[in-house]
Amino acid sequence: MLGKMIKNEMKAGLHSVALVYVAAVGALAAVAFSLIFKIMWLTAIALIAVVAVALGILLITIVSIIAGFNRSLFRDQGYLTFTLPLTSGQILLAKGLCSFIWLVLSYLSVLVIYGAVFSMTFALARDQMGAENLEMVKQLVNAFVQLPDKAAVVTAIIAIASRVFLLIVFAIALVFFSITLSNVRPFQRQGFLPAVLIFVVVFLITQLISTLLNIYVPLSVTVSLAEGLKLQTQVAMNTLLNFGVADVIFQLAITCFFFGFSAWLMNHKINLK
Amino acid sequence: MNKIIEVNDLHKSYGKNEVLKGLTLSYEPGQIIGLLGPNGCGKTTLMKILVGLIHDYEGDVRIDGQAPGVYSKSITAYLPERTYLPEWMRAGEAIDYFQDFFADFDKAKSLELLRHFGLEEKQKIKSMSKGMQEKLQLLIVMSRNARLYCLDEPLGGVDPATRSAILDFIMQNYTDKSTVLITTHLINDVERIFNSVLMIGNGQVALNSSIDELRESGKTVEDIFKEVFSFAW
Repeated sequence: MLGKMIKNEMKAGLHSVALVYVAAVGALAAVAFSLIFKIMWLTAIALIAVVAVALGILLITIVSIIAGFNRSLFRDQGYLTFTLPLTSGQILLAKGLCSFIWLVLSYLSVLVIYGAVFSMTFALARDQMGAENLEMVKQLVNAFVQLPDKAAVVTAIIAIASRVFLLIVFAIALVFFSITLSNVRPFQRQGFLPAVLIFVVVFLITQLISTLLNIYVPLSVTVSLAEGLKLQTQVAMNTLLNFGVADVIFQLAITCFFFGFSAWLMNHKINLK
Repeated sequence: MNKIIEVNDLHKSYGKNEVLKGLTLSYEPGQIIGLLGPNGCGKTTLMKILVGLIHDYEGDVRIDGQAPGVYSKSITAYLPERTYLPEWMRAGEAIDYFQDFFADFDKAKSLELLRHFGLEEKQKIKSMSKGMQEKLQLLIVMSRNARLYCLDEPLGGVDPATRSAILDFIMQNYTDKSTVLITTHLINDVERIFNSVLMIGNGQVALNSSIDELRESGKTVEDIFKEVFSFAW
């Protein structure tokens, strides 16, 4: 049943974001076309379009996740979703997993789009500068940058990806929690404002706790391309490359709490209007 | 065999407003029950509790011997007052959606009914009129071989010509193993299909009787409804 819910959630998500992905392919095709036929004015316009579409992918994905969650559970569609033979936990898990997949896909798409634009402009630069000159530039760069150990690079990438994934899951959990709590009776008739306020207040509180944990539990992990992971007994900077151990544990715990409490609210406190 | 619906001392309040005040009732399978009452008497609330949409009530509610939950949802087909199908879906996709989640869903029957109601499989729900959407929902719900059908105002937005066809359709598509609970204000139109009538007023059972007992009085259900709820107007 969970698999079927995930399948249908992915389908619903696809309907919301498909158009912007088609637009991205169109914009990339326009960039490629303009570079091949050396139409500079078209290149300029197409590059602006690519940047806009890449941002659009992120924005539309985020908006469709938030709107889709609210609409499918707490508006008319909720009458269908909540009468499916599924537990609230299964519904949340399916929605959370699909939101995660769409968000990761949107970030990856942005990377791929910018990578493709970079490759195309790089190819153009090679044509204009000549392959030999470009090779010289590469050698100059390599002379100044020490190539790191391959295993350390892999470890660093895994660590950074895990950190990014945790932040995404935390954000999804907080959004779901805020919307669910805003549909409990005292807030139910106030529209979307309570959800925004709950999100902001809870986000600020969690950030405050994270900061305090980083200060008072001086155990941090530093990620570097040269050395991979390094555990240090010092205050974390709270960046992607340097984060506190206690903060990560707190984020994991609070993410589980957000999902668990949202499921509990759905089971005990939600009355559809 | 378990009673299909068992409700004991059910209380439900919205803030200070107590809508259901100690409701007690039970039904054996194989009936079409008319759930009647004036506006705001708690009909929809009772139905929402039975289908598992409302959880914060007091009292005991059982569907086929179990509290509302995953099992009861798997044997209950619910048609709410509003249109609840996602608008991006096409009629065919909505049918596939129900087939995915309900083991008792009969796809062949739903496709046949789709044609019967003059709806297109490829048509988007968004492009359908309210009446068409209601027909689609009804045919999808009735394509399940459910143990319990909860139909909340199934004739609300339907033209008079179609009402009769829908009632015939409900009659044809329910079996003696299933139970149909219908709320309606169109008592005159619907009373011919009822086996039992449950009238709720002031949050309590005002009348719970078989249709045969009511007909012995020589009055129509609508006449009895007016007598029972004369305080309401």
